[in-house]
Amino acid sequence: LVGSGTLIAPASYDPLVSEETTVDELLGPRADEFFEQTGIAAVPPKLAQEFRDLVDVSPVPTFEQALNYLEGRFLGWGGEPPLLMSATDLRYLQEIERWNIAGLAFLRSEYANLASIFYERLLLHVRGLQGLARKRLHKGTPYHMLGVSKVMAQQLSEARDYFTLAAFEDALLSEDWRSAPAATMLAPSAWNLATWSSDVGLGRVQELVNRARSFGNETEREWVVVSNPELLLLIDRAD
Amino acid sequence: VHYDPLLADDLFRRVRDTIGTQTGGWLLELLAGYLFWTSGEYDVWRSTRGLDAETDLRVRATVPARPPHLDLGGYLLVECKNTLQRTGAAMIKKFATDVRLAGCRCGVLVSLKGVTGTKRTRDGAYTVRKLYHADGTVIIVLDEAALDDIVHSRVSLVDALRAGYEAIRFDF
Repeated sequence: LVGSGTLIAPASYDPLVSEETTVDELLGPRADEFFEQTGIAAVPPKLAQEFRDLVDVSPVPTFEQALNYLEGRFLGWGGEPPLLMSATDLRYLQEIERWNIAGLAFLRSEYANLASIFYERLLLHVRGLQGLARKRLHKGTPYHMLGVSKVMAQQLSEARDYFTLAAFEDALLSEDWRSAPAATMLAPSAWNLATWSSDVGLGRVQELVNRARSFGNETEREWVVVSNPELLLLIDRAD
Repeated sequence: VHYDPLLADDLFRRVRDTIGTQTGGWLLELLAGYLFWTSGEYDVWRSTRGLDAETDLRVRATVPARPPHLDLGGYLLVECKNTLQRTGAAMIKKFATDVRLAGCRCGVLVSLKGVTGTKRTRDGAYTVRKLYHADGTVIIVLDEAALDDIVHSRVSLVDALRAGYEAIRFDF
């Protein structure tokens, strides 16, 4: 795929994204406008130029092409996946960022399901790497962008769960998690007004963090739960 | 949240590796809860403790007025057993009482080793049928093979529940 030069999008792909649409257009004013209008906090793409250089993306790749390309890169890691908090951190973050840039192309209501599949697949790979490395990897971006795709699909309850998970991941990394994009999404805004208050949302994240810290990382059951915070969310749903 | 086959497979593997232990029971509860939750049809709460009974999982149809299977009702109780032995008639009767007293039509017994007795005959297998014919209480058993099918997406959870129910109702 990388060597094939340009990637062709089918004409029926999207009236907004045609064969002539460039990544610059997609990630430029159009994306800014979109996020501004919706009040959605996106993880800003930092590696757009690198992604363009690697894939020579013009026009925008189709869903299949983007997926194949990105999955190829993950598979290329083989048995030595990057570890969080290690010298290979940057490499891991770059791959996540590449995925994120491609995923932005699908973050519109009419393609919300594709966006979900896209980021679910990313999460699947990250989880696979976690298992191989036996090390918890930061999964903030896939959770967050899954949340955004659920917003696009008008599935607000699911979106809230994903933003909670993303904020939880952020909180495990930094004390400053309340100002990160995921926590921002848990505050009242144009898209979620009156569905929950920021105190409730952020309080829940803090509860999950406290619970995770009380678990530590020593036994098998603790490791599986803290590494897969969906399970923590499930445990939290107790009387 | 969505169903992640890798996470479910990892949990299932751990459940099998820890059979007969406290951790194994805890992990099986987690796996069963995860399967119900990610089926997209049910909300799940863990460890519902009443005045006279404790239920591993309380499961409610996401839209209670429109459960995925009408005959099973909008609320289900789930009991998990990750023991080295098969689950016997006495335990099934106790669980069925909890199901009845909670006003539920259906209970799901997730028992890795299954229930005692062979198909349609004595012991646990017979108790399941007797309960249904006595007052319509449905106890669906999900054993290791059924879980394996669900975890590896050969059959959906809702279909597995439906198949279990129909096997009891139509006696096959």
